[in-house]
Amino acid sequence: MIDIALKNMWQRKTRTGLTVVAIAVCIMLFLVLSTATGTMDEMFAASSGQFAGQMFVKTPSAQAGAALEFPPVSSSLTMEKANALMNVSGIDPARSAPLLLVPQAPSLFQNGPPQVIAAGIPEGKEKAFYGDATFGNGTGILSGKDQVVLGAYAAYSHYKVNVGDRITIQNRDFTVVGIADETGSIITNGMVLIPLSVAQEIFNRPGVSTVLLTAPSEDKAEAVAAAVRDQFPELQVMTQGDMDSTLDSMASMTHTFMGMINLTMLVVAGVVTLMVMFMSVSERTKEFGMLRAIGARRSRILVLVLEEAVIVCIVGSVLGILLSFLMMQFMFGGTLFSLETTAKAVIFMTGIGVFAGLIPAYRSAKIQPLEAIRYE
Amino acid sequence: MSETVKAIEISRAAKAAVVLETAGLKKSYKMGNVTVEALKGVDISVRQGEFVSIIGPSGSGKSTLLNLIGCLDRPTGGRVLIDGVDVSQMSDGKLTDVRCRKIGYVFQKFYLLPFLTALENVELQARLAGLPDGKKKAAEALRLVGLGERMNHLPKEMSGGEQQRVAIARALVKSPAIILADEPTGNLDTKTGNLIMDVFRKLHEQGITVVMVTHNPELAARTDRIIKVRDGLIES
Repeated sequence: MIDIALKNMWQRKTRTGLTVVAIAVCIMLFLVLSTATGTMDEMFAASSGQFAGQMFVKTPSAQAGAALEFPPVSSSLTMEKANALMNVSGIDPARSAPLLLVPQAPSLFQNGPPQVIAAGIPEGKEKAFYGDATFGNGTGILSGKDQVVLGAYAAYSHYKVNVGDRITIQNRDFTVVGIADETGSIITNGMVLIPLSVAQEIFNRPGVSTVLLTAPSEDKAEAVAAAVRDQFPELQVMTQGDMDSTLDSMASMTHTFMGMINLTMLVVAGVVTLMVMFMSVSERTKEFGMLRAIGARRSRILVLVLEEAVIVCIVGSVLGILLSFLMMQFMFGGTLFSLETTAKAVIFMTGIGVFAGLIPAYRSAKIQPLEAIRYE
Repeated sequence: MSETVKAIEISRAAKAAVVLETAGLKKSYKMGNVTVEALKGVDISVRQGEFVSIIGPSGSGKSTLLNLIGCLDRPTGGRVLIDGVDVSQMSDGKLTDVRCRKIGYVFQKFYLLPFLTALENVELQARLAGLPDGKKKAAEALRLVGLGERMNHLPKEMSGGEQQRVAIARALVKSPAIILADEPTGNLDTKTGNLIMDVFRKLHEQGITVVMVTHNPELAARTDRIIKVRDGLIES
């Protein structure tokens, strides 16, 4: 009877089309939001993983909830304090550095790390910030006051420049000497590394935001953190574990928010299908009655209505996937499709189709032929 | 039709097997606190190949009788036998099977699916009845009612008379034991109504059993036998 279902839907083109579009939009939003959430999780994991064995030493913020801030852009330390921290015993001084952090582009996620962040760092200490990032394009070393090293996102998406080009920060021109390869870390991808002294000058900040300390090995990080807490009780130490829990907390807020929107999308899609199926069934009471009168069993009618609901949901899902391709190209500059999320969306939507079709289908199957034929 | 021919046909029918029989058939409806007796004990029998009309004024119970013998409704008393099988207490599923295989129904308002062509409408019935070569049989049925050239038209592209002929072909395609027609010309003008009656006569001449409900005595006169229903009882 699937041909009958298809022909009926074709006859009611406008309504079928509008239902398909409504479901497609819901699926598109579901996929885009799920992908955005998944991408955020990956970026957060890579961002904290980048700082394995490292810790940010910062001032505790007076603002409630500011302890969640990662990286600690609101913190402020004097140079004296920063220098004292650099002398803590047990650290790897070559991979430790004071940093002046100033966001250049806001976060994509609530309370998340900025998309682009200017980091003033003493020349020669750059590796302390970007760790194992590789440079297929230029160098990661700053050898002049007007030089800048960029992360992949900062260079190609934010400033849209290449090595040798110039960018302006706070009215000061810098030459791009290197662009780090894509790392997956939002911090490295969005970094704008400039010499610390220049950063202090252009941002008019005599001190630094934080000191990034590195233990000689990951297993010694906790011992170093304990030593810092001991010597500098007025400061706060943010270890990788703290970064993880901070990022987890940010992610959880975003997950809740996105989850609510996603749930709303699915409920809307379900309600739309349910309404359309109810409307369709009530309009076709006579038709079902006639089918029953000429010998269609209840199960045939049930399947006929369910087929229509499922077809609408599947077509809507496929259209939604195509639309989300376009949306992701527009939002993220590429399709970050997860097969798992896509499969989940289609299965879920088909399930909603079955569920939303079930009640109207059951009602139509119960139609008594005589009552239906009399019905006008 | 001359009285002699009619008498010969009646005599032939009298020797044929009974395809439809009712015994003490009753049907009552509850309307609030009032029970309305639509049929008060009806006994009729129709033999293979007969062309019978049921006539009576509005509210006489003729449509109720047709619905009961068409397995669209269940009696509150008495029995309905189709091809010798008592269908009065059958389950819904079994009644559906009887409707599907034994009874061809022609409705006053045609009830064709508007998004299917004439051929597809008839083929749908063949599919429901599980007939092999449904399309071929549907085409044959349409040719039999004179719609060989209109098979691929949608109902909206056809006249009322043509739509009713599609409905007759649909009833015919499964070779039912009996064709039941409920005011089949009720929605048609006189000329088209007569054409539809010609189709029924043609089917009857081929040995198909037809029972038709009408309130039009002129149309009833064109059938072999007239059953008059009044106040829920057979008058003659």
